[in-house]
Amino acid sequence: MNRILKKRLAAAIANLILLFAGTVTAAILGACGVVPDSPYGDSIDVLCIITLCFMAVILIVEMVAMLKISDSTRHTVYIAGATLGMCLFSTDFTNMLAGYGVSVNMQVFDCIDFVCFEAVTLALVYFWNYTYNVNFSVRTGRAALVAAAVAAGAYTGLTFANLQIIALVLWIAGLGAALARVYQRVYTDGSDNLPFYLTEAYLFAACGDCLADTLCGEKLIPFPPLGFNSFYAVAFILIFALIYVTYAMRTDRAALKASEYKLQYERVRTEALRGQIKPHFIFNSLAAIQSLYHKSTEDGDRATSLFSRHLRANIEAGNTDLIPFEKELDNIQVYAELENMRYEKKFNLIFDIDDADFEVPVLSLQPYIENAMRYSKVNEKADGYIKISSVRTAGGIMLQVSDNGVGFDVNVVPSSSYGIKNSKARFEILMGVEPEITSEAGKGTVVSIFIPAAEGGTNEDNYS
Amino acid sequence: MKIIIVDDEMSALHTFLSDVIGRTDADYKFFKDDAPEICDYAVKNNIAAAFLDINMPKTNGIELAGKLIELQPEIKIVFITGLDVSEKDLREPVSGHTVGFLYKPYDSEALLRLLSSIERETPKLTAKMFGTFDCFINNNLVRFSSKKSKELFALLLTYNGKSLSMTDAISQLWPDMETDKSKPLYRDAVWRLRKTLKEINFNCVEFERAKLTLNKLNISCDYWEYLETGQLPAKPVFLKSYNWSQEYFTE
Repeated sequence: MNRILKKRLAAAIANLILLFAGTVTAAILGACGVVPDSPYGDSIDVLCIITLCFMAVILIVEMVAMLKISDSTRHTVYIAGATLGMCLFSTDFTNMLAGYGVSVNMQVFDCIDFVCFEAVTLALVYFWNYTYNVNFSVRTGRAALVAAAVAAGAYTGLTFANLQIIALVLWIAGLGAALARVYQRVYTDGSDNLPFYLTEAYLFAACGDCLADTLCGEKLIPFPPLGFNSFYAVAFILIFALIYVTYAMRTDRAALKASEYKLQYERVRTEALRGQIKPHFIFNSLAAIQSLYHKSTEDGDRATSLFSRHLRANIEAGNTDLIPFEKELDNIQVYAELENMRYEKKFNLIFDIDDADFEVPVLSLQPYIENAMRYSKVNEKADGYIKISSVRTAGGIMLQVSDNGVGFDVNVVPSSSYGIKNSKARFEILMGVEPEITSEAGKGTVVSIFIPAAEGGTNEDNYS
Repeated sequence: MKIIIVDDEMSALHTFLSDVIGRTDADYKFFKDDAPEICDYAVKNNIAAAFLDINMPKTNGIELAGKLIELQPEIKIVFITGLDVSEKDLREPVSGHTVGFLYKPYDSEALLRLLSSIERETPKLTAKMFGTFDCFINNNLVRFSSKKSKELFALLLTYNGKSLSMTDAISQLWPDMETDKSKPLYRDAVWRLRKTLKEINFNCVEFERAKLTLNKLNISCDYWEYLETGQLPAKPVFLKSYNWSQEYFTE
């Protein structure tokens, strides 16, 4: 198994054990009679608080270990903090306090409890928004906060008229609307749906719990024998476990992908370097330059300058991934001029450029030019040409390298040509596009690369 | 005008000398990488430009440029280097004074172009339209990257500042070809012309979709002179290698 995955799994298991240690401790304490029980199941609330204390320890450990607060930690802190507030100001808890002889203003506690409930639900919405990359603008976020404030105000006002139930119902309806977008996204993205459904079930259970709690508080319905919060607390522990597992899974996948990508890319790039400057090309070019100097110093100078430009481009390629298309065309022109300098039979290079405002992997087009000469034999034809064309369409850029040579069997050549395999791999890894080669005997070859227009604000997760 | 050249290798200094000998009237002084000696010279003399190697055993060309700029605030710097250094690797004040880079082994034409731009602030293009068509940038021949891009530029000059549409250019440069074949060739010529003008750093053409317009500023052209004065040159053969030229000039 992968080393990173092992480490992450160990950390996740350790954290889960810590989490449940809280529950176990609370259960033992309850069984020993250390924590008093009320008719409404107060010990469950106490259990929540103890669990939250353990949660805090986990968070501190994570912060110290990572030396920064990750997004998952931040979300966990929000949800944990709000839930703690909810427990501390719940009807069950105030009842327990009353059991110790501490009397509190039930109505004020009820209102604070409602605000905490709002905070929990909002934090969950943000968590989903983050997890499922739902486009959640600053404006929408602000609107949600304003709605929460209005609902809290209404709740407080209505509490004294014993009509707070209206505010509660409105808030839950509002949340439902906010969730519609998350739903839409989750249905289109088939991957991590289970955590979403479970956290969502939790939210609605909490809403139901809050609603029933309020109804009981107002003595509109009788209290059930075991108290609502028992269900609620179990769900609470479950939810943190799920949030944690979801993050761990996502992070692992991202980390694995990143490390694999890096390895793969390093390999391809090294191969590219090894493949580009071919010794025979160097020595043949030098020989051609030497003979040119015998004919004319000026031509020799020009050839030397061309050759040095070619070498420089190849050496630069070692520390570059993508370069502007225009620069790549310059490199190709230099290469073509060097080739034409060596051979009696020359070919035409046609730059049919409609748009050059995009990037390509460095020296990724040259293999197709080499190929056109080696297999399509364009330089043996009287009017042989290689045409590089780029056309911008609505969806992106169509880049083509075509020739009018003799053509070849596409099933044989690309798989045997090292340069083409490498170029294809770099187009795929760096840009996610796949060059397509079609060749027809007697008519020539076309290499087509479609580069889709960059979509604004790609929502790729950035796990480092 | 005094120009200094600093390189630790004799062969490099020798190449420079053989390129400039007898071609410009500047006063050249060659130095090896002895920074104190060079600075001493810069204190006593008014230096217009310095051609500096970057990677030298005793001194670094970029640091030396910084010192020279302190001594001569008007100095222009050209780096002659084998390294992959470009403008983005420089910082102020050196970047502001750098007028160019020559990558070893360099073209003597590139060197001469830089020298001309140092001598005169504004480069001038001279077009010779009678006889064989040729262009010169500050008396250095412009090398076009293809015959058709050169022909296209001749046509643009003939248009005398008027916009040239793609259809017009194609009908004159490729009169007997089908459009689907000639269009790529037209775009190729445009691309290459753009590259050539970029290389000589003389951006006199406005490139628009299917339309080219020449900006006549700093261009002198014998054909334009003829249009203005009506005086013919000694050998009145107008753009002799281009078929379309007869339309624009008859004796």
